Amino acid sequence: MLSKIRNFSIIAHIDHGKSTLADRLLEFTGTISKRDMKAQVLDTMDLERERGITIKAQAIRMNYKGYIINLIDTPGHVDFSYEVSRSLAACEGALLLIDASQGIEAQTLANANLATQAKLKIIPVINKIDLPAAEPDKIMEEIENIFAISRDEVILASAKEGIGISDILDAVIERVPPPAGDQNAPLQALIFDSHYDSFRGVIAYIRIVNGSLKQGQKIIMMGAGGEFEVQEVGTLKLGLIPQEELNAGEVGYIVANIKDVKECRVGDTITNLVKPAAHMLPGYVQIKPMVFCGFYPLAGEDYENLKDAVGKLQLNDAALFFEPETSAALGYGLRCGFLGLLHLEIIQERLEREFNLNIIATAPNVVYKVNLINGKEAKYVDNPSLMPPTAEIASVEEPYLKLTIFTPSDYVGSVMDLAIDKRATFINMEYLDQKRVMLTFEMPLSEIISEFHDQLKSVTRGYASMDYELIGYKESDLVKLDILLNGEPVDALSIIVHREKAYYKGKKLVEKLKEVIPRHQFQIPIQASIGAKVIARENISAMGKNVLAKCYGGDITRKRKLLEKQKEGKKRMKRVGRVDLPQEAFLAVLRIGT
Amino acid sequence: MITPSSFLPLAKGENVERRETRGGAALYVHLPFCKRKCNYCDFVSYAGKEELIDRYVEKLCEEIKTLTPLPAGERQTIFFGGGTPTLLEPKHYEKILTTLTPHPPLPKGEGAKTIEITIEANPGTADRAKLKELRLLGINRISIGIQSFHDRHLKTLGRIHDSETAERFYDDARAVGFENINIDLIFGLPDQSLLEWKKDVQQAIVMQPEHLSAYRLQIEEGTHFYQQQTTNNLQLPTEETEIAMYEYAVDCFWLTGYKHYEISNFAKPGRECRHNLNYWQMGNWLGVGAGAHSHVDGKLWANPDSIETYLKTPSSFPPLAKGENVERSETRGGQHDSLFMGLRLLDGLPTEKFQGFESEVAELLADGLLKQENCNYKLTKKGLHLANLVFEKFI
Repeated sequence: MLSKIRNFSIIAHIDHGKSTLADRLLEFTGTISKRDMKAQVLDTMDLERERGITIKAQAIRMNYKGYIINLIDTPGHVDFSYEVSRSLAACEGALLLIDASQGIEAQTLANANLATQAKLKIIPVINKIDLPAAEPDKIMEEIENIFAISRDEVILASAKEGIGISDILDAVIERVPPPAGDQNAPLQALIFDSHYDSFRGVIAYIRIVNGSLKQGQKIIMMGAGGEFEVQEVGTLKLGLIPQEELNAGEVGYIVANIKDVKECRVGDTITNLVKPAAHMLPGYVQIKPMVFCGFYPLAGEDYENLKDAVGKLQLNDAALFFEPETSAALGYGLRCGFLGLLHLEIIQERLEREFNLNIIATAPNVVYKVNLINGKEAKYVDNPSLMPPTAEIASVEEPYLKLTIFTPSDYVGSVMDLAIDKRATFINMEYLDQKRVMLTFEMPLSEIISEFHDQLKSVTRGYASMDYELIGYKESDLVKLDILLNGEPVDALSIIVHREKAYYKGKKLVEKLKEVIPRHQFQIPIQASIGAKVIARENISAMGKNVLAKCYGGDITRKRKLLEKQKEGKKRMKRVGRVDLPQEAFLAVLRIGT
Repeated sequence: MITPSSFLPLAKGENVERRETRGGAALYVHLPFCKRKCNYCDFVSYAGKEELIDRYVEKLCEEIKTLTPLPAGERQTIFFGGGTPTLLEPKHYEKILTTLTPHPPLPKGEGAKTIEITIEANPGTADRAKLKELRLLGINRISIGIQSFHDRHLKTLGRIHDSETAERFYDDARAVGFENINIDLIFGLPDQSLLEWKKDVQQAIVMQPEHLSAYRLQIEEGTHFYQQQTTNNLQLPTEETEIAMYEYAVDCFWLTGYKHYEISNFAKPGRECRHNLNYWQMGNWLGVGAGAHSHVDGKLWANPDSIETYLKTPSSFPPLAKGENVERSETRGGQHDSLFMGLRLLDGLPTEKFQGFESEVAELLADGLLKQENCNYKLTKKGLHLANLVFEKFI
């Protein structure tokens, strides 16, 4: 039976057409009728469809020419590279999808590297060959140069026009090896994704590597340690299709009364409680959030609702971390941890959209490692306001990453300038072909989480792409920059910056805050300080007048509406002391400060 | 021959002396006709529709007949507002006022004897004879939209008169027996200097009207000025200058015996506009005509803005029509509205009216926007400039 199974993924740089290809494959194999076809079936969340990216991986089973073909979708953003690697670990092959006009981009390479590490058979596919700007010959050359894959192996396709779809499916059958696995060995099932269902608990998406799984079986999570009894197993179409049993090589799901995705982590190995496997499957990492920020409800009474909402999202998102925190300025809120900035934005958007909460998000920051004097144990600080006093600090380290940028050679100078400005260290430059270059840097993570990607796109007119991986902590000369409004420090606006940039950023920041904070009935001094030393100052002058003159006959509705509008505007701001702060103030800290 | 309506006695000066403090009963009649639309105006008013006036007046009379009289109030007023009410002929007023006699929307009783009947007037739309006829019909107060005594500013504003016409108009009104006259002025005009405004203030004082209104120019959406502002073609005085203009007017009017009784309004003793006082004190009022608003026992409603729609809508009470053009809303117990309306008056409001707003009041007192005097909370000098910040707390 194993010989009739194929498990594969599609990997691609963003916008190279992965979701469209998935749709075509499902349509072509009759897995979904054209009538039921919503564009980008695999991306189920609204947000994913709007942003055109895949956040959570999913899987679907197709039948074609007597074979069972499981397509395992992968997230398309660098924030989720661990999830990508686990999805790939569930496969034997991958379609490497490349846009016929864009060519190989940073994430193409990063994903291809992940696939190679997972020992997958790679099938290169050049997509969008119907476009006038398509240059398949040039792309084939790139594929030969960079991946050392012969151009004979490349499939030309247009997912949009339905070109090359049967070639792709045939190649999956012919080239992707069938899964290896021992039906009679102790159970080892890889969790590559999970989601929380409010009726059934966690539904885990799994690949059976060895052994088999069926209802009633007692299981244990080898990493997280939880024990469960299997209630249902099955395979995945557009819905869940219950089956008697899942066997080695198969992809499917289990329901086992698991209350929380934290008990069912991506990458963990499920084994039989009674007859456990000797080892976990390789590659399991308990992912840690990299980027932190505070979420505060605009209305203090919404705090409990916010906590409930984040708790609900966490049921479905093992990478989301939160704990209550109190800010002297903003009151009760949550310190939340994320895989990256996109993850943060998505959670913030979901809180506002799905839970109707108005929140202020403080500027995101990374986790600093603070080495203390007197040989005390190092402290990890995920909130700038919790930075120990300077006198107690021996040194501060911050997370660094290896950054890979693909760019047309014309823009090398601009990219270099931008990277150096972001405290990057140049490591290497390599020509991909005559016109395209791969640059490698080491750079602090904190410099990426502001608007590095946008700035990179802007200095290269959209041509550059990037990818990164974390490489660990390095010492930096960092200081805490505080913002004072009306003479009072606002802890939620504090940031950690490199000493050399502190003056510049302090000045920019107070200027920007002056712009975005509305005038009040009193003058507001804005100061930036390092320790007790004020390094920049601006004043927001007092509001002189705000009064309706006219009488408008007996039309008091009109007056009330005007006042209501004014008041509504203030409700979207957070009161700090006597000052109303708009979300833009925190965005300013993000844009300028980090 | 014009005959004064019997239920409306000609008001003599002595009748308006009495100082009213409680809510009243008021009728507002909206006359949305103008020779041309001013550049700053966003009121319900239309130029070039004078041919509709006769039908409009008939419709007003029809609407008046359907009105249920208001509950008794200490003071009764009628206000002909616009638009330019003086564009209409005395015969129109005769028709309206005689309709009011058998169908009084205002309660019968003491108040009727001291009724204040105001007409809004624009210089250049009535001669002395016309004014005399209006006065004889029982209209005893006239509010003249002079706005500025500088011709170049009148031109910018899009007014149809010059300052000489305005002064003559004022004299005519006096001559025919109006003993209760208001002058409207606007400050903060495009390109207006502080000195020019000072001259406007002084000129108004020299004329000795009983009442003065000084409104700051507001740029409203949909006006000609608004368009100019969005294309950066409007040079408005700075905020500091505007504040100085307002304070100059407040000081001068006070020095010359005008009481500053509402944010933008000043009056000689006992000459406060009782009709407007009734709005600020949230008494009851009925509005008839296009775009007119009514407030009775905490209920608010409005007639359609368009003249044509108004003419087509069947009259009924309340409101004028139950069709979709009529907006009807309830105040939340009326408290919120009465606070932000009442605080416009410089005497303020009794502290007990602020129940439930203790923390807001405490903050406003601490910020120096509100002060307590005797048993009232009232706006401070700073609060006068920032009144909207005070009012929004009570919304």
